[in-house]
Amino acid sequence: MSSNRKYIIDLINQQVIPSDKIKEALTLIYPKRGDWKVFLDNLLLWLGGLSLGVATIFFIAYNWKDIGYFAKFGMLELLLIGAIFVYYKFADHKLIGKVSLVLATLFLGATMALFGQTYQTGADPWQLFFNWSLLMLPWAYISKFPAMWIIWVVLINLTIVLYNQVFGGTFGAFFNSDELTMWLIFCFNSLVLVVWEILSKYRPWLDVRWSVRLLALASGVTLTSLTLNAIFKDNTDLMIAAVVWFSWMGANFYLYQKVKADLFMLTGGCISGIIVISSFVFNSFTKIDVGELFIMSLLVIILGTISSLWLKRLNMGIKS
Amino acid sequence: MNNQNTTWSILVDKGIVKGDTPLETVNDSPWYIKTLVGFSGWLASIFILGFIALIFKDILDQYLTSSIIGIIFIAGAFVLLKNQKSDFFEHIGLSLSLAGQVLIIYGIVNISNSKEAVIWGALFLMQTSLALIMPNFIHRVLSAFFAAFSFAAWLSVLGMPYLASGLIMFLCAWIWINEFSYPMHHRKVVAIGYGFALSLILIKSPAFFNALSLFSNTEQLTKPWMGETISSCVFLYVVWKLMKPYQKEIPQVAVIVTLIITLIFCIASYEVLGLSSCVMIILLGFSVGNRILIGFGIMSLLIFISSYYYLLEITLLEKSEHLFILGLIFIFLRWVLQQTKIWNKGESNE
Repeated sequence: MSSNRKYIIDLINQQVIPSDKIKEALTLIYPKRGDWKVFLDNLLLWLGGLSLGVATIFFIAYNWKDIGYFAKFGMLELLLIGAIFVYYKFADHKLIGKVSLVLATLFLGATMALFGQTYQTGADPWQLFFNWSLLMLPWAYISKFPAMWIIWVVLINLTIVLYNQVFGGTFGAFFNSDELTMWLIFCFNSLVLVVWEILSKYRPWLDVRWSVRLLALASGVTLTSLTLNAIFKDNTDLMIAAVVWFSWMGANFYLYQKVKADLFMLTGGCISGIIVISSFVFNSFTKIDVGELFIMSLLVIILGTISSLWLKRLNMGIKS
Repeated sequence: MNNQNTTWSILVDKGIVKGDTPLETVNDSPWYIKTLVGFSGWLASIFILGFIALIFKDILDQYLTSSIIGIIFIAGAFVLLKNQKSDFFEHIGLSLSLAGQVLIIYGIVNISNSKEAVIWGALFLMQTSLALIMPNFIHRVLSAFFAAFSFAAWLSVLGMPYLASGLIMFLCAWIWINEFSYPMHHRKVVAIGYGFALSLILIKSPAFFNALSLFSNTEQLTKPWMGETISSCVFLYVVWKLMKPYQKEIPQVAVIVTLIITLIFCIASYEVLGLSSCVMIILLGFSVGNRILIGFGIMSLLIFISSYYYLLEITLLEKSEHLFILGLIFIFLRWVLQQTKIWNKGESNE
């Protein structure tokens, strides 16, 4: 795809490109026929793979009694073997290998669900996702494909949530169950984020920003929620949340400004900062009146202005 | 920077520009910085509203007055955003405008005795006007988003649900196809285009489809298939428009075959609500090299697939059948693409 778009638009907006030449300049933005072929090839393959995988999961979830369990197991195992066979045949193909492994992972999930339906083991739902994540690990490892690892991370996150729905009460004397879930999710996603960033130095295929940003988003959103909980609820230890939040913010601002420039991460940090600081100030007021609300609106505007000015300056620095 | 120099050299070679690369580039910040500005403007507007409510608490009971104060706020925001001297004034302008909009809505809700049709209609008119008038990118995105959403809700309340999604899909497609038709208004067009694309994702989602019954308590004059028929026509229009620049290079038969294949896709995706709009956004994004739009499309596709499970209208078995048939069609279409040679020619941009 053309990466000239932003630059050409800049030139049009600056009127560097005369108006009668705009049409000609835009030909640098539009994809050529060859680009369309590659793009449509990828899109159709992904859409086809995803549709078939999700269709299988829906089919098993429907729990159709007219078809016996034996037939369903047979069908799923055939699909699984088929997907792995396609991977084996096209392992070197840039895309087919990846799509077939994602498809195999979806079929595996459907098999786990069918296993639960058939044997009524009394197992908790968290076990389904945990086993699924465990069994897909070898495929994630050989795929060298970030999306497979993101699927693995999502499955572990689901496992944590469902596990705590069952066993969260065990630690009830020490932790609120929901908070414990969120702390675990925060710790897990942050850990994966750190490991991912370190490994991406040695494994170039891991250096895909969307996946790292997704992990940072999961980590940042949960920590911000936990800090807000600590600010507004008296039963939570504000000190722990504050220490973790400040450390996380410090690490974020240092790493993504000095070590590996990433404005997305810094913007996320700024938004978290605006939310947490304004919530803290708001909560510290003993009464809410005209003056307090005026201070709050001014505070948010000032924090937003400082953040955007700083980020825009960094953006200009990165551009040049 | 190297990439920019290469592009500049190509432009010079083609005789489009002359001289050295301009040193100054427009300081257009990435979408996430714009999101931060929009977010802090929205947060500040909540406190401004509280502040205004306490100061004018006696006057606000007179609903006409609250609307007039809201209009004054928006006028003030217009002046601030028009003469935008700094980021600080941009934040104040956004907050003031959002607070003003809430005051106007508050007035309308009470003056109309909470008549839903009047409220959503007024909201649609107000947001459309703001999207066209307000001189700020973030404001236009937000206003276009709410204008499209309130339009969908308005039609639903009037007993015509499902139609809006097709119409908004058309407007969204038209805007992105004509993105560069009005170079002097490019930023306005793009901002409104993003607003419509975001709204379309929401309106076409299975969750919104389930919620439509909440909006429409009157007799329904329209059916879901009507909306999907409009969507299919829009999808065909998009494919036809996207092929137009290449029609001199490819035979007429290929154009007709592509349109027939598109029609097959549209018919197959009839029951899979929202899929065609996600694919359309991805195609439009690719056609103009817009990665943000492609990202919207992919994100909405994933959200749509995971929320399709919860669509109440049909059973899981039917959903499974539809997706299975669609999957086979996609794989078949890819096979057809591999076999045809019409797309092979033509150099690639990369």
